[in-house]
Amino acid sequence: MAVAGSERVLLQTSGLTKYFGGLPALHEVGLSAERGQVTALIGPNGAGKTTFINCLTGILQPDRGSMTFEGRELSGLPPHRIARLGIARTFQNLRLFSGLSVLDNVLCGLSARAGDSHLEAFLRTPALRHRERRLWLTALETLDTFGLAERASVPADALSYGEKKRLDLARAFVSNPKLVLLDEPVAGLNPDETERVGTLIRQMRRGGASLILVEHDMDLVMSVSDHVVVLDGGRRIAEGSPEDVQSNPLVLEAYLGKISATA
Amino acid sequence: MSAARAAKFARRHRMGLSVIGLSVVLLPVPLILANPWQLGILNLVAVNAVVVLGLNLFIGYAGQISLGHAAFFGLGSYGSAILTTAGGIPPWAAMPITAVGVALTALIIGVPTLRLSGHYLAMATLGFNIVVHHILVHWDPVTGGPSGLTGIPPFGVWGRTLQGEAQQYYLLWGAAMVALTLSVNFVRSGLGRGLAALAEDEVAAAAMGVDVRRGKIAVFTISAAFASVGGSLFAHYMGTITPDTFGIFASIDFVIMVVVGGLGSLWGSLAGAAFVTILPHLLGPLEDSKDILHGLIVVVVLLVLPRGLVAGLVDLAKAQLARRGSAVATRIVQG
Repeated sequence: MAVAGSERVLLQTSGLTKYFGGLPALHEVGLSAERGQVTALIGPNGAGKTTFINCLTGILQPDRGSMTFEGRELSGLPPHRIARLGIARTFQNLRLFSGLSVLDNVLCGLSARAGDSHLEAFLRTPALRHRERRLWLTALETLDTFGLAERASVPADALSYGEKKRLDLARAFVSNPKLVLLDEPVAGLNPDETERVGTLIRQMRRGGASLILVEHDMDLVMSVSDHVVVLDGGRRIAEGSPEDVQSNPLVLEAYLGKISATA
Repeated sequence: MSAARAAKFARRHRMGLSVIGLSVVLLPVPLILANPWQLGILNLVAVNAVVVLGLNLFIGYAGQISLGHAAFFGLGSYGSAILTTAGGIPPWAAMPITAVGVALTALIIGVPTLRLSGHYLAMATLGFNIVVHHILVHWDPVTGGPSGLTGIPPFGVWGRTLQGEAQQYYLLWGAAMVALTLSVNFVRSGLGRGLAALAEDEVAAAAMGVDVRRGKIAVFTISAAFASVGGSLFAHYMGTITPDTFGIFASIDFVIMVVVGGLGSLWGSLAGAAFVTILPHLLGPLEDSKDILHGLIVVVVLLVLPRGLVAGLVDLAKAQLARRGSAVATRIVQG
């Protein structure tokens, strides 16, 4: 379906392959994510979803294949460079800066934008003060959006699990990135909190954000996604609209436990 | 209205005002404390504070470890001493030239060693210190060997060289206040937050756009420059330096000062430098067992006040107040 080179395509991978000790965690995975859309990546445990995200963000280097973001090749770039291109992410296991305050966690999400020189930092020049003030306001605004404004000065460690999940989202969205990779944003949340995160994701999408969503919660996936890609055993086994994917026999087979060829 | 503006001003310039407040407290000390020996100890506190502030950026903020900062302190001392005695360069020029040289050395050392972390980084920096100490002891023609260098000129201000402990006091504490201001500014910038982030979680920090490797190398270089400036101040203050001052035990003492003061607490660094520098002198005859005592202090501080002297005592005070507050609240509710 994806028209290569189209302005609508934000991120495109082709033939993306990653081996772990000879076993393919990803095998020839092609995916394209369009601007302003939610692209869901689903599949059973061990399907390669997190590996895919780790390759996109430079934490892992793929063995083969290409990943282009706005026409620019990502493989070989270190994680911070990829982040600075406008790709933000959340983490399945949170990875918050637990000793820092909630506000500082979100401010760290703006690091790429701060761009201070060491001299400015040591002298705390008026220009830096001015910039810090703007970042601070942006951070507070984002905390408010994610329902954490009252918790701004609390150490991230002291938050409830649900709040931590939202802080992880806030930290990713605060920099107004071009693409956000969400790695299981509702894992471990109760139905109320899941609904709350779902609402936030829809709100971000309405605000024009482009998202890749990795998630096991099918209700969430089906309700927020524009396009769904299904991985199993490191291979892409299906893609299409949420409705198409739900009725695809290959997907049902993968989820209902028939052993796939590569497992 | 003007009260509100004053409050706003105080809030916005809280750090600057705190530094000024501390300076005001420190200003009359030489007038009150006439004993030059005691003033001399306070002067060493200021020298150590400059080193410890820089080291705290590396250890306390960036979460790394160095057991080799006495080497940078020593290179600063010897660099300044050699440039002024053999090179005839004035101390004010020798200090920045040396600091740049030491920073470059740290950069060269840092690029390969900062790939390491934890125990490995501790061992690598310790090894560096041993090498530097060895060179200082054995390269007689340049370093004067075990007996070191003498006749290092003191700093001069407006053509007059500083004389006596009181005049040195103002120079050294002035330098310590500048170091404090610079480091307090630095940690409140985006770069400072980046360091705090990478100390917590390198992968997450990189995903936020923090250049982890560059950040670590930069802060290592900066902390070495601080140590070098401390070394220059020390050399021009003492007039004589020997290699003994710059061995691995000095490095460990600096780390102890950081830990006692509190990791990541810059105000604590001053307290840590003061505590560890002054304590042995208060012990009189026990001075010989200084190393044992330093070890004990660290153990006790880590057990009782793991966040360091300043933050730890503030926490204790807060807990005490909260307890008293809740007791009052209970009484009100019951009454």
